Amino acid sequence: MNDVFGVIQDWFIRNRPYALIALLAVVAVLLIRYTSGRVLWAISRHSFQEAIRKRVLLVSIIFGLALVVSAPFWPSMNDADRIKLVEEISLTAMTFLGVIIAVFVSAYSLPDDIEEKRVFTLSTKPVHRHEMVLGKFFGFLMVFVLILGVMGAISTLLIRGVSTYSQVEVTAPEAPIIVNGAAVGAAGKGRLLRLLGREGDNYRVALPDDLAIRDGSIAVSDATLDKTTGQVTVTAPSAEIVYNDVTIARAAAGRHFRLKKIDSGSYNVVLPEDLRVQSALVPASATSEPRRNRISAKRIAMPVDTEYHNVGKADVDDGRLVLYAPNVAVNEILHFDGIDPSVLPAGDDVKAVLRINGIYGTPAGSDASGGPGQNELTRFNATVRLMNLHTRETKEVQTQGIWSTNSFGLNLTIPRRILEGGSIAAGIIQAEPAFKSDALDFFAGTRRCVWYFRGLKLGRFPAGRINGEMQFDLRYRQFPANGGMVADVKFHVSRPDGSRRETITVPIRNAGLVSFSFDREMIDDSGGTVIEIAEVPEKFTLGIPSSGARLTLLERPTAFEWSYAKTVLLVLCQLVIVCGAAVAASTFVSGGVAALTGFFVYFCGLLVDFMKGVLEMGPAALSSGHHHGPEAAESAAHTSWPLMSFLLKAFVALVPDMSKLDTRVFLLSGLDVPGGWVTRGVLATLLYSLVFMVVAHVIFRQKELG
Amino acid sequence: MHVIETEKLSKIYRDFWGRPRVKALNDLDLTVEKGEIFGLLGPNGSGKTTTNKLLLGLIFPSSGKASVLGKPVGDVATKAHIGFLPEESYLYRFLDAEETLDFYGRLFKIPRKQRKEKIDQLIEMVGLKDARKRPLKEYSKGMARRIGLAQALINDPDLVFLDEPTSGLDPIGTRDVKNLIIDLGKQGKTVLLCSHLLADVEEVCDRIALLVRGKLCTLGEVKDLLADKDALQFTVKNPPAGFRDRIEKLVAETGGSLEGIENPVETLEDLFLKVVREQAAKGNDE
Repeated sequence: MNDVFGVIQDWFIRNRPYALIALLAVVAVLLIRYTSGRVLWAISRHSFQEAIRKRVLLVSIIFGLALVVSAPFWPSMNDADRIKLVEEISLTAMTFLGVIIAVFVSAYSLPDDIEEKRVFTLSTKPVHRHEMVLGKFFGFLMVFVLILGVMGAISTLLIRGVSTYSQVEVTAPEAPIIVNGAAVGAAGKGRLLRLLGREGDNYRVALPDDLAIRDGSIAVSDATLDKTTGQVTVTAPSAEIVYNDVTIARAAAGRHFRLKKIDSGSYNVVLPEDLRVQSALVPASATSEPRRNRISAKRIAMPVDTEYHNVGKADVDDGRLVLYAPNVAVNEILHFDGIDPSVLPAGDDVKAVLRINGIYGTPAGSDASGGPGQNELTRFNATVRLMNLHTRETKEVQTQGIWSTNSFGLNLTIPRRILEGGSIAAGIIQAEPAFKSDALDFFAGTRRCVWYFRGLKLGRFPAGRINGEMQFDLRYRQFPANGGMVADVKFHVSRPDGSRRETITVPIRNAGLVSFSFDREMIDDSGGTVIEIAEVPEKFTLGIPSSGARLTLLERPTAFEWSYAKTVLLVLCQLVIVCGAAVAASTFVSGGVAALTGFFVYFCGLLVDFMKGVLEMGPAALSSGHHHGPEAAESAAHTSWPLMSFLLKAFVALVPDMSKLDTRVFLLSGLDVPGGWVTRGVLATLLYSLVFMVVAHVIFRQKELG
Repeated sequence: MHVIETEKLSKIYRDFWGRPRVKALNDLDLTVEKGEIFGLLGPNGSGKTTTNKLLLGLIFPSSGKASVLGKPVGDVATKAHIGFLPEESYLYRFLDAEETLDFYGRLFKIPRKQRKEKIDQLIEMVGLKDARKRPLKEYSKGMARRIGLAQALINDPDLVFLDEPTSGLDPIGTRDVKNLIIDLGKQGKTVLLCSHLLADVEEVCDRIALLVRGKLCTLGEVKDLLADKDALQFTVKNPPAGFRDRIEKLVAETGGSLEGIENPVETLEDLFLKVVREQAAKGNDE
């Protein structure tokens, strides 16, 4: 039964756009054939009037507006926070009040008409039953458009009002960044810089992370170094701090600094917060006119296959299949593509190595931040689960490895049929020390990692360098003897066909967004690019957060209103789905039950992501508390009740996923809402409305109204 | 073509489990011809309203067939020629009289201009001119009845179903409605009237059917059913003195039996109408 469901699901996923368009076309034809536009309009208009004249609606709107209007007056740290606060409050008010209104307006309308026998006069007029249902549905839609229109417009005005951010865009190939009258660096063309003010012929701008100056040099004659602590102490009354031959600040005698390295004649030190250079001047002539905008406009790209958090590389070397795993967090799945069966060694069982570039665990006795510990070699047993992504066949392989801070391999014997088709998923589902005395904890992290991105839209990017951001999680492998928590990580950025490659070095500090820039040429015509971690300094490990890799390309700002409108449109979609469910239910249950149905659909919709995760993880992962296990879809089959598991899967597959209709994540992080996200949301909403209306029609046409 | 035709029409109401609960209508065979004012009579729960609902397609028959205006029941296009006044006026309380009629008019796809004229005419006819802008929730029962009647006639129907049309109306209203029904008959429209107010039915209907417990008991023309063929009745204006004695004598001589001689009594309705109209006329003079 699982297979049937899987086949249907696969077919639908592959052909979804065509199936959907065909379905909508058929319905449109039927609608035109069997529905009178004027009758539909009369009923829609009427149910719109009915809803509008209800007190409950008026009161809800007043509450909502009061909330929205109060938003700018809540205490907040700064402008950026204030914008987010207004957005958050406005969108929450719109969504939740909207859902409540949607449910109450739509759930009670038809049952009340039947209860109070108004259907007697309505259905004895030349009106089809489906016109009654559809007309009401469209009428409610008009109500939602009105509510969201009013609230959206007011909140837009408020957000514009509190938004004081201005930006300039660098137009020169290299605009000098000037501190104390001399250039200390340069910003590339197309870079967006937050404007702080104008000083003469220059703009004062806030320096983004990668351009901010966090270290400087102090002349050896002005300071002393304590070799045991690695601390530099200023001895001159006032020591100059130099960066790129420019004096960027002065430090008073007695001030302590942490040494980064010793250059000839000077100490390179880490600057404390107050001495860092976070803003600088750029010549006005090298930038565009300032633009008042939100913080930034960005476009994000997810890796090609977002189901797997990482993509590994497969290769054949020395008669063995080598799977280069960028990531070895337990319960994290890896996706290997393009395994060529023709070059695999002969035999039914294929010898393979799962080559892991550093496993992230801490041996017993080491300190919590991941110090070196005494025993760098710890033997452990691991269970690796492999799955053929075409046939979904799985195989678990026991193996033993030796934990080390360097890369190492796990020897595996893989049945050839698992490799058929060339795409497999693999993951360590269990790892424990071979000897009880050796405690070993694993945590998510990676040193080498390759992400394949596809579908980046380049239309609006200028030629030259593109600014991007990715989120990383930097951790110590060895506790640093000196120096700050900064690692210079090398990345390869390349065209997917490998014809062009660029290596960039990016300083990464702790966890958070990392900014870098690369040439636009690295993205091919189909919008694909490959980003690979090439080299991480020995004492660090670099991980990606559990939300998965996400590449953000910083773009010329688009109008904020446009993104906001998209978000409001998707809120409308949520209301439409809830309304559809309530209307469909109201054709055969009382208003109260229909309202509950509407709320049920909404709240289940919010939980779909979570429920999908639970189903995919299966019982093993549940007990270990991880949220993404490699057991994947197969684990559901392990439940003792296959029917129940099928029903649960079917239920989760059918419930509309409301989180896909929520774009607050994008908006609140200053991102452009991706167009595809909106298109998918609207199409899904159409599909759900269709299903609900068909259900409503089938039930209502044979309902006795007496 | 019969305007209404039913053949062994039955309706059994069932409970949640599908077990028969009430047999509301039992093998009804009925035909109504064009231009007839047909009365459906019966005590409460006799199946009058059930018949109405079945003919209007609100509920579906358990067995048997029915056609209206030559088309099977439920045909949406046919409904364009039907008007229906339900037992009570179930209307949208948030609309005023004009909006109500406008809404129903739109459902018949009546063009805007024509719709407006028709609405004015109907509001005038049912006497709601002063209340046309008031929401229906403020209406009294009688006023709601009037607007209900107006909505039933918005499409100038060929067949009108009236369920207790005079309930809740004052005597003047009752009189007006009765006149209206007679007028409809004169215009060649067919009216199906359900009522248990026998006086109303007697006065306006051409033919009646009497339903008891879902079964058709009596069917025929009103004057045939009510006329006592063995008796005669005279009304003599200004009888001369001794007229009464002579009549008594004549009856005795011819071998008949005299049941009674008395002064004709006005019906209370007639008296009510006379007094109210006199008052109204006086009011106008002053």
